[in-house]
Amino acid sequence: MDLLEYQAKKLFRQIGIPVLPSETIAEPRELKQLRIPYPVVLKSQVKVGGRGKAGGVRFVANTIDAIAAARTIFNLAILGEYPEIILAEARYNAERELFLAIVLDYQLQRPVLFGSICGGIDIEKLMQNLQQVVVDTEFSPFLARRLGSQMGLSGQLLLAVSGIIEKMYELFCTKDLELIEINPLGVDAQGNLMALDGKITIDDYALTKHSEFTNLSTFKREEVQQKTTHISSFPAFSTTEPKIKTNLSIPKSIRWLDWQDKKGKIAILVNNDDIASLCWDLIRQRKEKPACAIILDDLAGQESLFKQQFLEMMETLRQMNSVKVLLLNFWETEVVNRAIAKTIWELFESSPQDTNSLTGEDRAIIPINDSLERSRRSSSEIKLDDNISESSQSIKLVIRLAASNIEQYQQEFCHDEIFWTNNLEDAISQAIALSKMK
Amino acid sequence: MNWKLNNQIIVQGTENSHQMLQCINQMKSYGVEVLAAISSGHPLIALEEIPIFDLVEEAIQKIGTVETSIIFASSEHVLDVCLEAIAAGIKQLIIITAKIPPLDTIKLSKIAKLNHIFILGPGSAGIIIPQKLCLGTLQPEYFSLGNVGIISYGQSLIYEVAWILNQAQIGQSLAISLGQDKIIDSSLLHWLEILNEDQATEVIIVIQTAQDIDYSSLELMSQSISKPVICYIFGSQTPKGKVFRQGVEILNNHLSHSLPDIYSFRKTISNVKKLGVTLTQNPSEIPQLIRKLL
Repeated sequence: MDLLEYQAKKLFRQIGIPVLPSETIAEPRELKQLRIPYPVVLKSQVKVGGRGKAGGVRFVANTIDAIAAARTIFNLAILGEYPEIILAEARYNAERELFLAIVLDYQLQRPVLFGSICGGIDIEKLMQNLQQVVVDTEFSPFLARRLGSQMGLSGQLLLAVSGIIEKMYELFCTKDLELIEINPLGVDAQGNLMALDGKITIDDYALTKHSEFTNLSTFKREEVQQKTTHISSFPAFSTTEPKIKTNLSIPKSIRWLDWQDKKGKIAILVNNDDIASLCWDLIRQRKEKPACAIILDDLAGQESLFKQQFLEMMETLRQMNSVKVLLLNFWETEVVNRAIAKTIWELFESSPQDTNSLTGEDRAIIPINDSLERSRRSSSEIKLDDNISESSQSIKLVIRLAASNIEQYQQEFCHDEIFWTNNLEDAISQAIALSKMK
Repeated sequence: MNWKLNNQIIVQGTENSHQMLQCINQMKSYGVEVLAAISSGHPLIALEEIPIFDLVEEAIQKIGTVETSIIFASSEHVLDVCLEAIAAGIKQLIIITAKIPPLDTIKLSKIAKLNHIFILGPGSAGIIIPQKLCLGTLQPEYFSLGNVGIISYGQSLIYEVAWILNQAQIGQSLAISLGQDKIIDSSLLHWLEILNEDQATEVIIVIQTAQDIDYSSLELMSQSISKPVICYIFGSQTPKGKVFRQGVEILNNHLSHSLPDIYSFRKTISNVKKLGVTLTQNPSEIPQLIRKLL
């Protein structure tokens, strides 16, 4: 999970990394109450980088300019992301800009300290001068000094920068970070340091250990209401938030992967990400296009929830218009496989697809695509044209279950629109053939 | 020093009783004896005939030496319960729980190395030797006895590959799930060596994702492993982005300020081919590849 700059700077402040006086702004008119003396810099709080070049960082000299600039920034999407917050910060005159970062190296399985004498927005120059020190065994301050020395620093500045690295490392460990970055670390004419920007990525796996981060989206709104400048005591991260316990019996919902192909006709529903990759591979290797992939985690014992989620998913697929076939491939115990098979079959038996087991009222609320509407109207008339028959709008199912007694499934759960098989290659062929039918 | 696998184990992490019970019942049918369950103070649940203890050392005192513990504890407790097991003399840990904080896994790895402890996982589904041994959550009904070893990180594709082999009347000698976390203690090379020495195994299948191929292990493998290896690489047709492991790569990607490109895996795959490794991207090709190699 990425923190925004102002959240990262809050952590910096707590640990003693120097940051500038700043205020968070949720609406331009709040700038009227700004307690930071001008000139001030307004920074868009977005998770993506490259704000400066995109115009998300503006220097302003007075309130009127500030409000105008804030309006512009709030309406500026950077790589598709709009800011909800702007950070107003005091201006700083840096003589030089350094770069510091600590990153978890997954190859070495160790944290690595990074530094560059060329901090700032010129990434090429930054990378060309990048130095690293691997924290192999235990961390000790001399490792930070080693990095500083590799960067070409010496004397007082070396000591000061090492101190910052030590504090960054402390945050890295205590908060289970994946990445912490200060770019630029400003150095003024007197050799004082200031973290002018900050990025922190918390490891998603560690969120259960850190209750202060688990409700971050609501937290953001709350803390903006309690807004103060850095001078008064900053509200610490809430420790009264109830800790979210990992409990395997909490049902997990259907998860759509962000793989989408609008021209794709085959949707994939599986219970594991790797199986989704496999099915996607096989379809594409035959030069066909899968439409999307949906994962159902943790199925055991959640039958009623599965029914509801399955129906919602089918509706979403129907509204995608292009999807003609849903391919299922589940690896569960025999008992669970059977339960899933039965549930799906019962759903199909009890409600022919054009009504989708919704009441008339529900149908009015959910937007129905044109072709579906046309088919419903035309079914009451006598039509010889096959193209507008009801069944052409329904999504066919190809269900692959690794059962040796698959014929039993075919008999017991027999339905026009469901095809049962225990062979994946056959399932793929069947799905492709069905997707090509009118 | 090698894994000593037998049918007598303990389990830890009773707070995830549902998953634990399911696994115990499955393993029971394979003759696995769960000699104790460690609750670590969590509310006790009735586990039929299995005695429950608060501490591993209490259990060991009562039941005697046990080599292996299977860990079901919640992710934030895994480091602690593993350290407890190691301190009580357990030599082998199979960590079923996934999504352990990486810094915890690193700590655990360091201590395991110092104490010569073998770990599978985190996020492992365990190991199965058809008709002999089943430790973990791999479902025995999908396997048959034979001469092909399967090494994978996750468990699902083990099932798919085993299915294809079974259809072709080819059985499995051993199947192992190394673990799905980004940092795992299990070593691919170590298990390749085990299968290389295993009498029953004649061919080894390694399953990897295109976005995260352990190229260096494959390089070392081509020098030290004598038995034929088939590398099944999946996911090259998916829009998944490359997994960056090296610090510099991660930093570069982080700083590059643009939307991630879909990484082309053709280069990596051709590099793997250059190592002389038999490669496939479609598991249904595996049986014919095996026939060619043997």
